[in-house]
Amino acid sequence: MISSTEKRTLSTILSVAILLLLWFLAAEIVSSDFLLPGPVKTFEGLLAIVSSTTGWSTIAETSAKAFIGLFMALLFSLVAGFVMGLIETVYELLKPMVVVLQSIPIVSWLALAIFWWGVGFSSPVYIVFLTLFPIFTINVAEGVRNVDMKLVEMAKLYRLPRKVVLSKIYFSSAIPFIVSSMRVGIGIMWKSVAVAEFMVGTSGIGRVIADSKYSINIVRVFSYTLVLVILGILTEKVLDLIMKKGTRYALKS
Amino acid sequence: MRLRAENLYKSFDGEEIINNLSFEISGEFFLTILGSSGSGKTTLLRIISGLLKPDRGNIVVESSRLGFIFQDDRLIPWINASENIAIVSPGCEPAEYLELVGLSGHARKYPSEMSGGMRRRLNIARAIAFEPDLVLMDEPFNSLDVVLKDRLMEDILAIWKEKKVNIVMVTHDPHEAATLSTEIMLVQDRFRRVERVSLGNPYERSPGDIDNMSRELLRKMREFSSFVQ
Repeated sequence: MISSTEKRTLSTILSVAILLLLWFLAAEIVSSDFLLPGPVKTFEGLLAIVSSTTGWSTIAETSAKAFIGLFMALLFSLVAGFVMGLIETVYELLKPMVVVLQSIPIVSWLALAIFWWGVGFSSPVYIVFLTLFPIFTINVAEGVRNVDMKLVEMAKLYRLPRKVVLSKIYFSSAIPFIVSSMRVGIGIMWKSVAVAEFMVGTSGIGRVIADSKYSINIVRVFSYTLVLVILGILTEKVLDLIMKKGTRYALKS
Repeated sequence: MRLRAENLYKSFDGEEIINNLSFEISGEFFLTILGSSGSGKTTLLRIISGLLKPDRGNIVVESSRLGFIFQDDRLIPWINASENIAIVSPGCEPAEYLELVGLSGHARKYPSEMSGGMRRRLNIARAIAFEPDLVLMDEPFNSLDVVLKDRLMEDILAIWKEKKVNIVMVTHDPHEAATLSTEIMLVQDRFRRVERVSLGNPYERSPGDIDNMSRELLRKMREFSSFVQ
């Protein structure tokens, strides 16, 4: 007998194995490192990246931009989302704006970013911020609005201080919403930071992919793409872990 | 402690729930508002608590701190029993209140890990920890089994006596009213018909007295309802 977790692990391994096999076969058929480098070449490239200091500093720089953008978005959206969630008029007023913000394609931001923040470190940070901020804000606002009004009424009756009502009732109700938007946001974060670096960056993974394209080093494009995929999966796993423990802590304490 | 209502009116969506209600009670009391389901008793309780304003009329509640036993408990689901008590009364000793309602040893349990009866008891402990001079109870024995209900009635009466809190309870059960109250307000037909019954100290009542009284109350309730229909 195998447990359901074992079953899930097995099917994940199988799924990755099939993907690798298909990739391998396709690369064999195409048989050109220029058009489609195979998994072996790509993993060799990955090994070269992680065994060089420049490789690690590239990864570190992209991660720094991504996380600064993420935390900025989280911080501002907590404030904005709370105000929106608590005050109906503000919600009605701001929700369309946030939806508009959310619908603006990343390329438009990129086109403006060069003029607004110039080429360099800050542009990708702002791009990550701008893509995540509306998503987080809407979710925080919905989470706050989702509060059980019966608990709020109880709090009023027992004269709980405003600070306690906000943290123990409103914030705790919003936590599941914040967690799920974080999960969605993490994936978007890596994609948008890479695109931003590709277009307006001077360093980082996106920039290296752009340079590799110009120098027709397609193996390196593949290797760094793999780095991004691994980073994405890794952060999601770490987030899951933190959330599992953190949510319990935040809800209970 | 005094509680006075003068010509109260309340309606929801054009439907009259409370129709010209006046009453007064003072001293140390356990007042039970007895009436069949849907007679607007909860609405009256909410008006007394200040959570709801009457459309017309006056309500005077000479209480400085007020506890409320909600029918739907309203415990905060993500903090444990002890924290649910401490939150309404920072610095208090939650264990003391848990013991009062027989929940010692369940301090670290979350509301979702407790039975309906335990949650009701925690609700009572929370209200008492607030150190109120008046506690409002909305059908506190609803959906409890007979034994639990009987024990909880004893405990509530003990709390009433020891803590010297005044209580206004709402129920549809004449037996509960006859067991616990010092004073009963029998209400019917949206408070158009109100009858007051004074019972005195519940501790001076024999089981026989309680049986007779609840039968008498039931008779009155039936009379009322046949009058309405």
